[in-house]
Amino acid sequence: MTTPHNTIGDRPIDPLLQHRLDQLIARAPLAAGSAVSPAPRLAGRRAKPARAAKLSALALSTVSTVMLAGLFAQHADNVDSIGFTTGTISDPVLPTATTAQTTPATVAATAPDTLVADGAYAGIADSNRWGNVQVQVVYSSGQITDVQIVQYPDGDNKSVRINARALPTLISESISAQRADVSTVSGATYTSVSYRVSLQSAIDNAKAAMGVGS
Amino acid sequence: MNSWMWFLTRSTGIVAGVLGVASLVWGLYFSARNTGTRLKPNWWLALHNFLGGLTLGFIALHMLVSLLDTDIGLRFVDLLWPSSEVGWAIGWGVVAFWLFAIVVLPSVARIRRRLPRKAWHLAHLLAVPAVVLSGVHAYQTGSDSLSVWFTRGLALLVGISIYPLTVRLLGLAQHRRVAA
Repeated sequence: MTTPHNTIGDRPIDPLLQHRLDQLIARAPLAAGSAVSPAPRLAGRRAKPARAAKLSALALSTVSTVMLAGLFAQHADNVDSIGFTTGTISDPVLPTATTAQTTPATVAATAPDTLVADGAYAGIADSNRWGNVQVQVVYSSGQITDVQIVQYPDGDNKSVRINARALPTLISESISAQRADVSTVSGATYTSVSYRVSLQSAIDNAKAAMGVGS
Repeated sequence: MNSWMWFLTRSTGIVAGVLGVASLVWGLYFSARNTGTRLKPNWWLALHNFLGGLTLGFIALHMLVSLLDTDIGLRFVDLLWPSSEVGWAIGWGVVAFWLFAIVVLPSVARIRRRLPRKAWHLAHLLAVPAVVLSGVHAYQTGSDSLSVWFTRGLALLVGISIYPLTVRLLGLAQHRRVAA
């Protein structure tokens, strides 16, 4: 049996296609040695498209994860190679102050109660599981202008990296807010808590030096 | 041991982010019918589905490893619910995880057959904010966020995502103009 028309438009139908059409119409089974691929194999291939690409994506993801972890381990002792910055972490250059740096009588007589004398005032060293955090606050014209880190956990490179990211954020927030109660930096909870404690004690020391209430 | 957990937390997070962007880009090209003629559409769709599932898998791995890293101090509940105790930088990651779950799980064949198409489509649109929030999470939380290579890589991923998104939106606008 053949199809009524052996052309598509003006073009004759390909003989192979014609043969396949005839079989479909007659529902005849494929002859042995036929050039047409057996249907079940073709259906299996259609049922799993992009198999090679999927396996490649999985393999690439797994290898990348392992290689990146190895790369981080290799560079764990070389913090500078990944753009480590210390922000405002520095050795204290102003003397630790529990007394006023300027003449207390003159300042107290003319300044408001909340005005603290210019200078640097250190807070207590607060301990956490990774080490001590101690800061000193720098006042200028009654405003907090800087917070210097006297000590921070630096016993291992992980602590150094975490604190290098966290401390500048804490410092800038406390200068903006002009207080110690700032938000915790994610991933640096212990440092954040100790920073707040130390900074608050530094602010309290600054106000106590002027005889100002907290 | 904790050091290796930290390395794996970072590496799984980075790979999950890249996979998320790849899945999003694949999906945008597919939905824009901008897949070319070399490969069949079902190839694109199958790979897009697989990448979505792989992204969710790597996110789960990232969360598990960060839980095992006791230095971070995360609790199990912190992985499932944003809290002010651990900060919003991690909270954005938790929200991104839930958005990815809402995007991927309804696309599983058995579930999708039972969902109205519109509901599925609305859930699927959450893929874009999910990828954005995961980028915010990576930038705010990541130990590598201070690195030059990280910021440049993040910018590259943003750039790679913007082009297919633009193509898709332009296609939508054109379709609506024609329909009108």
